[in-house]
Amino acid sequence: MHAVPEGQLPEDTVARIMAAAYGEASPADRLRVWRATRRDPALRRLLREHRLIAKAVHDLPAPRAPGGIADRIRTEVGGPGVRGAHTLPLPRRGLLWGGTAMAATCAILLATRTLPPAPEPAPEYSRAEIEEARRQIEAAFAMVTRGMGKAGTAVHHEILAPTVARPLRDGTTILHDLFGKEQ
Amino acid sequence: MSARQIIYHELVQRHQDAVFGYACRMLRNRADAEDVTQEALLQMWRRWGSFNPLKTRPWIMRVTHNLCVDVIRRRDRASGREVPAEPAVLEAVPDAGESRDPARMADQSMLRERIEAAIQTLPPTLRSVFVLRELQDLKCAQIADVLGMPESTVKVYLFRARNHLQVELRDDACRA
Repeated sequence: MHAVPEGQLPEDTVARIMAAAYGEASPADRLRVWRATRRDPALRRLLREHRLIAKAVHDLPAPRAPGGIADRIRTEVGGPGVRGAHTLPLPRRGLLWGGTAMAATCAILLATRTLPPAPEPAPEYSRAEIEEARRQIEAAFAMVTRGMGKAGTAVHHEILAPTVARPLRDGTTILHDLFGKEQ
Repeated sequence: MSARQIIYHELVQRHQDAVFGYACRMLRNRADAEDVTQEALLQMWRRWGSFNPLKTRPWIMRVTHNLCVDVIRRRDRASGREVPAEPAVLEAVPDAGESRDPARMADQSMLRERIEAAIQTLPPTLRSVFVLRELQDLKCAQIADVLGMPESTVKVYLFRARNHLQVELRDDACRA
């Protein structure tokens, strides 16, 4: 197959070569372009030129907006200086915020459900309060002792005497009388 | 500062260079490009809620394009012809990974100037399609949305623009 002059190249072939040069061609089109350029030096040269131009265009530096624009916008809208105020791209910032908020929420929920309640702080008493408490305890013991003493007297006089001591005495008297009569 | 202000400033930070670059290449005049950039970014604040903040790029480029068209029409009415490009409208910013060999730097700088000049020779419609596709990295469907034309027309214009550049830069490409 002989080479075709560049001006007479079919438009779809040129379009495929351009797409390949600018990195947009499908694998099938790249294969077609490779096969076509292998046969035809004119196509090979066209592909090379487009590749060089595409690379140079893509390597063009992006112009930087002057800082004065950011200052005027800040004056109009309010807020901090635009350039350098926030350095993370928006999706990453959003993810960071969302992730942090989610992690904090999970941590709070986990803590409230698993951790034991915090112990109450030990009360601190003054010396006067301690003395007062000691006096109250002694008074309480004294009352208990007095109560126990009264209870003991009452048991002795009101329960033991009529129910135990008197029958014992009566029994002893009876025995004494019996033995005395036999002698 | 409100959440709206925070998001707005993020979007400004993200898009201001792209908006300015597009305006520079369309208007060929730095002062006009600055005015258009400021107005486009302020419209983003004023018309908050009329666009999706996650898909701001096509919206802001459409606003910028319409503002550029307005400026070009005003110029045409005023002078009856297009304004010639300022020589320093797109000052070259050296890349970090660029060669430091002086001869190579000079070649690269010259090639950039030739490409910028070749882009400026494109008719405005082809230029806007080419800049949006190759320098703003928009898809053909997005460009169709920005410029209000069918996607097939965008593809045809892109083909013509690339062809035009290849013809303009053929000698430079041959030398390279």
